[in-house]
Amino acid sequence: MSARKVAIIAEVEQGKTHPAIVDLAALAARLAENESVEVCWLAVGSNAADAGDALSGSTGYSAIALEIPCEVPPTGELLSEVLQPFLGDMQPDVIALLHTSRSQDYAATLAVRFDAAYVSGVQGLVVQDGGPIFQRAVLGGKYMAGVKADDRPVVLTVLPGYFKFEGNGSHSAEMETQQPSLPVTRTRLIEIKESATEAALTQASTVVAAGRGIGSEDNLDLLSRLAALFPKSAVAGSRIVCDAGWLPYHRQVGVTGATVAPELYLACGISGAFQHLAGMSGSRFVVAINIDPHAAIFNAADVGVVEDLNTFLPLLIEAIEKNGLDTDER
Amino acid sequence: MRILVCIKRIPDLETMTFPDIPPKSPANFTCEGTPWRMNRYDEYAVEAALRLRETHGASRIDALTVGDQDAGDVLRRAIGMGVDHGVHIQKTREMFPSPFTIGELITAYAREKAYDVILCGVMSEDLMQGGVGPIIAGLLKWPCLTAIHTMNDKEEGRVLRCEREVEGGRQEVLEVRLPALLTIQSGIHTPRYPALSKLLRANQYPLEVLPSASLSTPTDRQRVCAITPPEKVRAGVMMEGTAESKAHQLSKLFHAKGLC
Ligand SMILES: Cc1cc2nc3c(=O)[nH]c(=O)nc-3n(C[C@H](O)[C@H](O)[C@H](O)COP(=O)(O)OP(=O)(O)OC[C@H]3O[C@@H](n4cnc5c(N)ncnc54)[C@H](O)[C@@H]3O)c2cc1C
Repeated sequence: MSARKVAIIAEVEQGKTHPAIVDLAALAARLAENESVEVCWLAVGSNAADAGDALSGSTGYSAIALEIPCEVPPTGELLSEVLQPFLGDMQPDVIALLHTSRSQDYAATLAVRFDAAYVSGVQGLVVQDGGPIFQRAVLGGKYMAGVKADDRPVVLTVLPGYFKFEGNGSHSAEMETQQPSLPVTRTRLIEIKESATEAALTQASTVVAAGRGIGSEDNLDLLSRLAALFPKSAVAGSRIVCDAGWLPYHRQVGVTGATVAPELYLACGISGAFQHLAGMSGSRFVVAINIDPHAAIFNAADVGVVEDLNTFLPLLIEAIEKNGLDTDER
Repeated sequence: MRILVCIKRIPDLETMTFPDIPPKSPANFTCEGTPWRMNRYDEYAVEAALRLRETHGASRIDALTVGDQDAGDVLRRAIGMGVDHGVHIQKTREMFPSPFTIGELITAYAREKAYDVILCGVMSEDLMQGGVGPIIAGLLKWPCLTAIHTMNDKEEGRVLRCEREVEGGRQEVLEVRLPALLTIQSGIHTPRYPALSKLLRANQYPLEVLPSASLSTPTDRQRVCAITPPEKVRAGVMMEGTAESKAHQLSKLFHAKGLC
């Protein structure tokens, strides 16, 4: 049987890529456990050659750099138009992209174009004889669904952080640069505005995070009181809490909010959707309080407490206050 | 401007009871007895369509759902919110349908209808896949912008200026020349609550009902072959005892770790 072909797409901005892009090489390597695979990077964007060099150098996989000279990052529409002829020549069995805001705009278009399956938000991979099974979270992260393509290529968007490329490389692999012709597109990126995330949040030692499970805005008082018992603390929220206007968006933790890595992350009434986990998985110690014993957050916590926050938070505040006194007396 | 909003009826995840050990075959995964409702992101998509009509004027908004015979209630809710017309593509219920199946059915309906904009929720809360919208865009060869929370029309409705929140909370401003497909993210524009009088009127509205087979016979392309519990990425030690005792244990732990 001929080798399976894997194309990994790396979006490039002025020679730079997402730090997790190299980890897609680990997914390719996992696919190679069961059958021979041939992997090629497609680095696409401005100064793509720099990125193509770096990626092929660290992984030993060949690379094609597709130069798109532009000030702002290319839109998904432009990326897919530029990529299609090259993918058409390669005929890959697997097209892997990082799961980003941009890739969501065009990964499915590639799947349609190449008559492929489409699996977004891939977190895991089961390699077996009958072909790979790609795992993704469903039902608020309470379960993983294993998805299999029916005898056809597959386009994947892979969540950052779930595969880790360990290779240390300086390899030599082929790298070629192409200047693709640029089509006229209907989408334009006008502007990127920097986020207003507060240093108070990203630099906090303890983050007390509110999810929808706090029930009402009034309960934020309890969370603030709890946070006040910890030095250098901040109150943050899930997206739902910010959507509800209970906290401003610059207090949002997650993929579209702040990334925090405090000593202690105290998740109160947060279900544990992957978009939230993306912003706090680097925390030193995670405690989750949730009324639902099946909540996905418990899989991402060091310590879990199944309780109703309405009754539990006052008890916790009291216990910490008392414990503090005990220690002082000693 | 002609606008189509695609909405999904989903089981209410909060009241759903989940088995510790999921059934071996995903086809046996049921949610009997769970109340159903409109996907939250689709409520935002309906709201976005209504706002577009309010600013642009002279628009018609259709809402469409693919679902079993009970799924019409989400269309009625959309009509109650202010949508003009409801299209129900009837299909047997499947917990884990392929996004291509749904995408092809919607595309078959929408292709000849001269829509300027198709809106979908950014993802369904149950399958969390965000596949159907972008697949429709691919099939129609339209541009697609995902996770938009705000949009305004320009050039008399030929262009939409859109905003979204991307990685790290940065805001992107994009423009797209219509026709286009947008997926809508939750955000500042909280979906309106339908007035009771409007809901009552919506209940009388004759929905356009189409059996899926009358539209197309889609190719699945892929299948969910297993449902498994997620792996623990941390210890996940569950505290035991009464609430008081757990509070005490936690407090001790925080002190022992020098956290407070
Ligand atoms: C493109 C995109 C980007 C996103 N970006 C982000 C992001 O950056 N950050 C983010 O947070 N989300 C993000 N989301 C949303 C994410 O998918 C989830 O919807 C969100 O994280 C859920 O918030 P939650 O956990 O507060 O609410 P829910 O999922 O509703 O969970 C509430 C939890 O509270 C528990 N609970 C209820 N009552 C009580 C009680 N009395 N006591 C204790 N527990 C209780 C419930 O058991 C449940 O687990 C994004 C989604 C998309 C599509």
